[in-house]
Amino acid sequence: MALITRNEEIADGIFLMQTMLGDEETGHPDPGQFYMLRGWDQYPLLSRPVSVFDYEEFYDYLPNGEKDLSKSPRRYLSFLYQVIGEGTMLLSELSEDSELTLEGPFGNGFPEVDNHLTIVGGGIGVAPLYYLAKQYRKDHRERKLNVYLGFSSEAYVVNLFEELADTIAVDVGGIITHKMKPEDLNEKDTVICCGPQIMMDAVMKLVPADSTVYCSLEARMACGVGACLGCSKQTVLNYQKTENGLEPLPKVQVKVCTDGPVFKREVSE
Amino acid sequence: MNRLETSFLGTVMKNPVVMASGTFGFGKEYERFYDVSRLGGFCTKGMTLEARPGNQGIRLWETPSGLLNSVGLENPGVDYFIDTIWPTIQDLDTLIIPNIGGSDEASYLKAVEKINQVDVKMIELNISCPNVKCGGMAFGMQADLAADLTKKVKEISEHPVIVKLSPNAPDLGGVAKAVEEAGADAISLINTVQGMAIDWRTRKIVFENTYAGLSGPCVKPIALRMVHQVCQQVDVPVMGLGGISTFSDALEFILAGATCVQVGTAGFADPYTPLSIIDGLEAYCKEQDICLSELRGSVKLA
Repeated sequence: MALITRNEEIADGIFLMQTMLGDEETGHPDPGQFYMLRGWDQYPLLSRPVSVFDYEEFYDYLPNGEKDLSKSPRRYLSFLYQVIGEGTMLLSELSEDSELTLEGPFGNGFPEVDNHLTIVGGGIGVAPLYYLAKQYRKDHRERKLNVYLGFSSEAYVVNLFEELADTIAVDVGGIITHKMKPEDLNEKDTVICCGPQIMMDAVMKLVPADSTVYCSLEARMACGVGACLGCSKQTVLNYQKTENGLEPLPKVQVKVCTDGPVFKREVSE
Repeated sequence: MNRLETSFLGTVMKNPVVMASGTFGFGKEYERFYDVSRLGGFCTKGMTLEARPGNQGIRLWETPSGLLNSVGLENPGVDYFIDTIWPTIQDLDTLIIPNIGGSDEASYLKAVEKINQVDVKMIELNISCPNVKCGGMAFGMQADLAADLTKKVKEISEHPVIVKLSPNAPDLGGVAKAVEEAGADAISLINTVQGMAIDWRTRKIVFENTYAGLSGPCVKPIALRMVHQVCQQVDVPVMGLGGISTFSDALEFILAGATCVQVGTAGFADPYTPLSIIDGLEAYCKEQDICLSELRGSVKLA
């Protein structure tokens, strides 16, 4: 069991939950992976898939100022979620010090980025992108990180991205992809997006074919491990180069939990 | 001494707890949680002759203490199972039961014929999937159709056949007796109960296929009643399923006459459910100092 150390509404209907993992939970998720969360006994029946917002480890320090490696670190796993239905409503009502059942991490997560990174997040789709940005910045101090964040009515967690980004554009109430100009992208940048499907479709279409684009999908899930097939869906991932830019090819079927949730855009000539 | 040892169609199982088709993938999916050889067995995801993409749109919808699904038999096809999946699971030390579906008689028979080349102990014939437009449940609704298909499958199958029945049949007992007479080696029941969801916000039907299959704890009393009835009517062994979530649920099905139990939806809520059921049955039998097989069908009148 994990212990909830914080569960706070940071914007209308948007909650930031921090948990401290117990010995039996698996930590060290990759950015883009998710856990199945359960803060109740029997009902609702299913746990809820929620992506990793942040993961931190803290060691105690010895009197000489060195880390006490004889003890395992305290491990904190955070989730950013929006109250949509019964499950997320119940999660939002959990108080500090209550217990949370966690299974995971599941899913493939974001790939290693071997060039400059552009992040595009829409609404609660920013959730998996913060840990991505943080890890990228930790590993690649010299590389560029450009961030685009769009929200429908109220911005949140923007300050956290500001600490990491070289450039950041935020839009509230409009269309974030309108702020993205293809000429702003360095050739062969990696672009990673998560948000409403319409936003991700727009990103995949407008980012030039030389860049690598990944999107992170969302779906209802029962198991999270590829057994129930509840999260299988058809989505556009393939595009073709034409005189007028990239045109979508027919949808392909994906299993969001184990094939994804992160998928790569493919471009054909 | 293993108090849970169960003999089913000539196979000795460690325990009578089997994961239900469609809730356990092809077995490997749950190896990350526990050693699947602890299970009595598992039924594979329902397979058809050709690969199927399944249904589009929303596939899952929670209800109070239940789950509606409309997956629509998404599966990679029998050939893929035989060539690619089977080699990776055949060494698992548990009973693996391929579940076979179809859209018409010919496709059922061809799939069963292909499965003949796989060294399994038995197969489960799915004539009760409510989520496909052709075939599926249609074969399980009427005794004559069910019997006809069962007879033809038995003629070509080299493996014993468990016929999985639908609770949606108007005369379930009649279907059970008919498939037994047609040669079914065993019967499993119940598949999901046909249900429906409407999203009042959008005023739309939730599932593209309109109706869906209800499972989970809410169907347990119905399933228990049906298993009890069918166990009175047939002599072949029965695998009981429908909403089993705890060891006491499993025990009730066994008292009602089931030889084995299948666990499905409860494994989504907690992947360790089958292990708690096995441990619970073991502890109960030890406390009562009996073997589980002694309790089979021993329910007393009120």
